[in-house]
Amino acid sequence: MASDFIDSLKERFGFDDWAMPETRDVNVFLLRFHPANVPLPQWTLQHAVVIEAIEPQPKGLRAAEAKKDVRATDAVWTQGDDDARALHVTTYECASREDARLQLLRVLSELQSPIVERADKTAGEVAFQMPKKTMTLFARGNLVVLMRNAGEKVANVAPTARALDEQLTSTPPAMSRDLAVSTSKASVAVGKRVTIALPKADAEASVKIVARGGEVRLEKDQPVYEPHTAGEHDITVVTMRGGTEAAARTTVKAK
Amino acid sequence: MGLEIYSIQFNHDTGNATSDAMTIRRNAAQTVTLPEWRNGVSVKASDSPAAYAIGAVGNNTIKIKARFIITTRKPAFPTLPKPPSIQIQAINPPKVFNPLGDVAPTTVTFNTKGDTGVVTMNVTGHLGSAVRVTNTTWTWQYRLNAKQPWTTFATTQHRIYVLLQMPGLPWNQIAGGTQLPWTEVLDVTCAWANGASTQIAAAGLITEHVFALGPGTITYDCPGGGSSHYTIGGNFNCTAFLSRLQGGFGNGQYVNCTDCGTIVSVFSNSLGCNLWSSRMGYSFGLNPILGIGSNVWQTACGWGGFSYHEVGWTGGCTQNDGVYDACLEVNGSNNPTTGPPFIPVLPKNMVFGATGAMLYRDRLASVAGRPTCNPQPNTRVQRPVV
Repeated sequence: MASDFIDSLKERFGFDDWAMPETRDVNVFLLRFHPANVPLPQWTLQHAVVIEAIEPQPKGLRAAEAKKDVRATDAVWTQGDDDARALHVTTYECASREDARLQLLRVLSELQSPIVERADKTAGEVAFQMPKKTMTLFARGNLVVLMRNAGEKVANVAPTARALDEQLTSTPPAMSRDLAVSTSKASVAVGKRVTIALPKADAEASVKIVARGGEVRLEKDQPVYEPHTAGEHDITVVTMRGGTEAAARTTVKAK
Repeated sequence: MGLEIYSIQFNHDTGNATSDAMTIRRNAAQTVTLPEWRNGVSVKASDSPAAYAIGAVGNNTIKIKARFIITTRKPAFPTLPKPPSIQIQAINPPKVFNPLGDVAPTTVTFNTKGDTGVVTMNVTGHLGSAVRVTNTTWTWQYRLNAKQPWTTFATTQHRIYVLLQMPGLPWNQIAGGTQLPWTEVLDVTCAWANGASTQIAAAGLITEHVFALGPGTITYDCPGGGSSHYTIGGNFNCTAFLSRLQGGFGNGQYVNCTDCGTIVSVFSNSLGCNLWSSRMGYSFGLNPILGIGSNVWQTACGWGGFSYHEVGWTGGCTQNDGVYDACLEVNGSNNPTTGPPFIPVLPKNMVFGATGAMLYRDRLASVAGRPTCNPQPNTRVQRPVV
């Protein structure tokens, strides 16, 4: 039974320990992630496809772990023109951090190897890898990243995974004058939500929301912010296009 | 004044494929424009593709629709008789097999503008009994009446695919959809399964050819923990895999069992089979196997076992159904749990079997692993292609 498989996976990978996202001071939320907008240092993007709404498979697993739509990207990177060194990177963009943890479990269910191990220090909030770090799977915010070798020369992918993770969590040092971000309310009670009005960006851009004191999720296709603690919290919205970033910031008072 | 062919249409009834070609497309992005052959546009055989299913056509006479025009671009053409009707036929080069045969002599009538409009013509051939892909040339001839000799006025080239049955899922006949059979897939599958006259033979040949892609084209993903590279989110990235087959990089050299099961089922189904990609498991120990791309008998990558395994599978994907596994060869010796001897056997319609039956399950899974190596038919899928 697929549910037996899910149960065994949960036990094997200690899912109960990481299923519910831990409270973090800074949380990241990605929208319309595209590999071309988040270049990997020293790697050249060869091609990428976007699947707007994947259908979780197999169906038995879908029934067992029904959840909202997941948007996926699938990209191949090489070192210049040398495809002997190549990376295959698949991302899954979920509606929330919690959904990303379930998606992480689903990706684990698609690995045939029984020796995949937990490796949170490699990248992300929760991570797994092959013992020689030739594959890394991690969740950061609402994004799940599967990075593995695709070429003849097999490499340790952990440094690249870490570099990508740093890009996912960083914000530019200066804000852009051309962008503006706001929330539907200037103040909100802890545990309640305000809608984030994103700056106008071209349709090809990816968006990164870095929120302090709470986290962002998608509700009815709109990003909403929910503070975890009282105080004044920054929400920084970063648009990413072809490796160029522009940022805007707003503050929410949580009571 | 001259005589020209304006167009030839093989798929002229998109609701049926019993006496005409089925609806196809080239790949995920490109459709096949109708009529398939157009004067001045279609040059190579592959510019004018048509696919037929033996099971759908049966003993029916296949019909094409063609249109002829009188043009000033061509050399002199005799004055049309009155009424303005002539006979037209197309013939194959001698000793060259064309599953459609010749185009039977047909009387066509020109209007005052020198246009026959679309004319239905019968072909004389029969599809045969086996899978094939054939580039054909038709030499077109006319005569003014039955007493006159035939005069050649044109040649056309076409690529004809012969399938066993209408393609199984994910392939369908939904007009305009991306799951219409792709000619880029049929180019591969019809060549691989050339001559197969049964679904079992066709799926077996597909399985053989996929496994034989290792290690030059694809190999098992030991470094990645057996992760999938050509299936994503319930879809088969057929575009990337075809790129790999055509010498491009695709998504790289690695595959896992889900990829292999998907490739076998999707490719076999393009020929009219009805395979699924389905899992077994979970978390079971292995006998020594020969993984795709490897020349070493060992448990997969030396891991000792699989958390799951996925294969092409027939019927309900139960232990009574046949397995097509292009991901690995099992040991066909009397004792598959150890070796030597190692007798490589590629599972092709090998029944999964009960524990102790010395069928697929026993050859794949170790003695200790067999109780947890069970068919999981609720995981069976026929993944859409992208």
